[in-house]
Amino acid sequence: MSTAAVRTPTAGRRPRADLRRRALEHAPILGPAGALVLMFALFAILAPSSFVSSDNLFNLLAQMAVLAVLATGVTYVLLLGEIDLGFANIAILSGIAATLFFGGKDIDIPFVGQLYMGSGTGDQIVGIATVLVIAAALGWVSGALTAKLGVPSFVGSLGILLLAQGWAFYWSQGENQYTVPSLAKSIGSGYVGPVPRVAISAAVILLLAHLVLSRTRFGRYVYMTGANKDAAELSGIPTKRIVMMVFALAGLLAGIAGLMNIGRLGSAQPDAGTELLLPAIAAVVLGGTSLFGGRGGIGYTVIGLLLYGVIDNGLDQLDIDPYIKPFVRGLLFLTAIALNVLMLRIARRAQAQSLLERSAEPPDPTPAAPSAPAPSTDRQPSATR
Amino acid sequence: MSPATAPTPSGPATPAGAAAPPIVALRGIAKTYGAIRALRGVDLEIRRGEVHALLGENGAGKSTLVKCLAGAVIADEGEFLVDGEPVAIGGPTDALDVGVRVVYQELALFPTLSVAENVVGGELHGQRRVDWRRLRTAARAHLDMVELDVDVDTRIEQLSVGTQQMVEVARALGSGGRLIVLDEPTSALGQDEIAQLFRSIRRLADQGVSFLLVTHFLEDVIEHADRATIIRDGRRVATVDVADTTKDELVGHVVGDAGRALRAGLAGQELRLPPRPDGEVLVRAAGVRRPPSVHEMSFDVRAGEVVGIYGDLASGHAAFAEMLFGLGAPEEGELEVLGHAADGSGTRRARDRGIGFVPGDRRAALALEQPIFKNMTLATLQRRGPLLHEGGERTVAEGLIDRLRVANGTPELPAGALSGGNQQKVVLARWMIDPPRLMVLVEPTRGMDVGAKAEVVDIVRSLATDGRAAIVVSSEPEIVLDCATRVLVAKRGRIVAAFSDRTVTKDQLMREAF
Repeated sequence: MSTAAVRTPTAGRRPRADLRRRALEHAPILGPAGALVLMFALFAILAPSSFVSSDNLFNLLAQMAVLAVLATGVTYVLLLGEIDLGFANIAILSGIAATLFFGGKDIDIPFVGQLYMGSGTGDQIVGIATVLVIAAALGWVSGALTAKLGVPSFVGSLGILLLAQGWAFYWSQGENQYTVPSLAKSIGSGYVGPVPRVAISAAVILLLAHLVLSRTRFGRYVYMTGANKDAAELSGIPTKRIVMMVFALAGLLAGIAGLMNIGRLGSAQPDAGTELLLPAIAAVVLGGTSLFGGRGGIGYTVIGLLLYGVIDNGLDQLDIDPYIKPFVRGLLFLTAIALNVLMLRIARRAQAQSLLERSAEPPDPTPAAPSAPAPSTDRQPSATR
Repeated sequence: MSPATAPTPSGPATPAGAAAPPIVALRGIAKTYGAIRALRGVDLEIRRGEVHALLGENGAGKSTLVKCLAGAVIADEGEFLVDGEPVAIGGPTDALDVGVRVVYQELALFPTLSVAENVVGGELHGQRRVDWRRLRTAARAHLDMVELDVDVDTRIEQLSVGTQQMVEVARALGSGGRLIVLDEPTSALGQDEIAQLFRSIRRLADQGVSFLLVTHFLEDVIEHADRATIIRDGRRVATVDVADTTKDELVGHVVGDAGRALRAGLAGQELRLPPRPDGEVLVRAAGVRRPPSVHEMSFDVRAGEVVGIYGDLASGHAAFAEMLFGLGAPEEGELEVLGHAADGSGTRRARDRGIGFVPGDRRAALALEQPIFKNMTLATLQRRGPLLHEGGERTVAEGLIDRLRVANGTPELPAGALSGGNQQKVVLARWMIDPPRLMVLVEPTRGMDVGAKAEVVDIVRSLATDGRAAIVVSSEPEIVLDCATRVLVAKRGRIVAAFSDRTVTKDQLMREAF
């Protein structure tokens, strides 16, 4: 992750200790990575021919691609210590809106009138841009409710979920839409060699999101705001603006994911939001990004996505009662999370041990508890000696 | 005349009262935490129906003594006598059984529950069904004991802090309390509430309830206590009848000559403050008011000055400091900082105008799980372009770690792995990369040992060179005296004294502040 560079001056002085500490620092990734290996091995044994075929594995990537773009937005939001429930329905709305804009129909805007967008290439770019602006704006509203009004992000984004759901339902009149713009098809369907194009789109977005998070000031502000909002604020970081920007970014990513989704499926379905919402959050959480902010990243989310995809796809390859599959998926999900937590605990203990060995100093004498003032130890030694 | 019927407020305990065994007596209480001897044989006697004050500096051992009384801390040595009989205190329930109740500064009430539920809720234990009528009646009876006239259905959070305090006293009495320990009861109260609190205390004392008042407001002690015990460095210095003493005498006991001499190297027995420099005025405050804590503050700060503002937690100096850093605007009066009106327009603008800020609460200063270098560079990234250069950041952090002698520090280490004093150095380092024109520091040395304090003092002084200035806000007189070229004293939201171009002592500051 961001700390992977090796140019610190201490690296020269104590290379081994430094390496060891850095390994410990990234130990949390061992949880989801270990779970991924185990799950992969499980399905490779249970369904050797069907699961471990290149066709199936590329299919797995294609299945996960839309979720991956959504999970990217979720990762940013979780790093802030917030939660977003609106993104999946923003994606659905974006898909519906794109098909309608492209479909050459009049679109009813209540209280305003009719909107018509042409279907030429220039019109299509305008239409797609409008879709993405709407998506980002809806995300921004979630963020503004949280940052400006102090509404918990769970509640604010729930409102956006309902709004986007209703909006998509109204514009589509509840019908699937099939006029998929060619731009959406170009990022959502087809192959480059054996690789599904939608997976390439997702990979590009994941990479960009990773670079922004680890190499830019904005990314640092996201981590630091999530790690301690007060400390960031008191260092002059505009934390409210960061929150709004991140929610807007999550909205924008949801818009892109919506376009990829209709490109891949060849249609826009107004009621598919729930199929995207929880899986995207589940994948991020499986990867080990903390719900409390400041810890995690895109690398973790990639592992989480693969883990989720392996469980989901692997189950489809097994010859078991289809009605028990969702239950087994739940079991495997819980197993993976438990495995994560156990691995993390071991890593933390090793981390603490290593810090204890390094630190000759006694710990902070003032306890963290804000209750009754503890005996201040600072001045007594001067009187003792 | 027994103390139970003694009508004279603030009168000394009568001989008759002295003859009866004290309601609670501690003898030779000692407590050691690791290498720190918090208490070294303290005696404390509290008579029936008296208001007894416990005085001492921060770190003198007051809190530990109170915890021993409450059974929260078990003394290593010493006796605990109740009504003259030794009792074994092995935990909080033993202390409750003998009638000791402690009302801590951070009240232990349930803010979203009603007064009735808070006052008698503890008696519900073991009942299957809540008998609301009985609950209300019982609560009413408890509140009558303290003559508190509030609706028992009011939620606690709707009451003022002073009233909440009385609700806790009511609960303490209602559950059989005979000795009520009040920990800094007036620090968050306004003048009216303070008067009301002490009226209630006196009335209850006249009925035979004993009070131990842990405070550092000497005026409260002089006006409202019967006797006072002063402890210093874990020992009892004196127990005096308040009627026979003066504020100066109390200050003398609290500060102590020997202690002062020992600390002369750091605090100085008598400090000569320099005349004010002729530098540009960087801060101008005229009649600044921002309730609840800032009432009338007027002063200015010139380039080259380190202005120390000494006062306790309720003096409003910390709230004033926050206004300087863009957090909140004055309701009345004028506050100009580096040529701009302080308008509460946020910390980013304040920082970009050239102001730095170190908060008093270290938990609000550092992201403890994040590496030291990220904490150090946080305030200066904005000037370095949108892309990060982590190699450069690490080098900068490495330099600061060496310069400030951050023990065990490496750039990649999480800040939380450092001791408190070294964490504070990381916070200071954040502002040393591009030193701001005005540095505002709240309690910059809280929880630090003497050596680290001296280092912080050097850093603060270095921040006020080359046309810059610093403001140090603290409730520790030593740090103010050590850092400052000019000393102000804040008390209950007002600047009550200013010292420059003259000698000043810690006693003088404390006399002005309390």
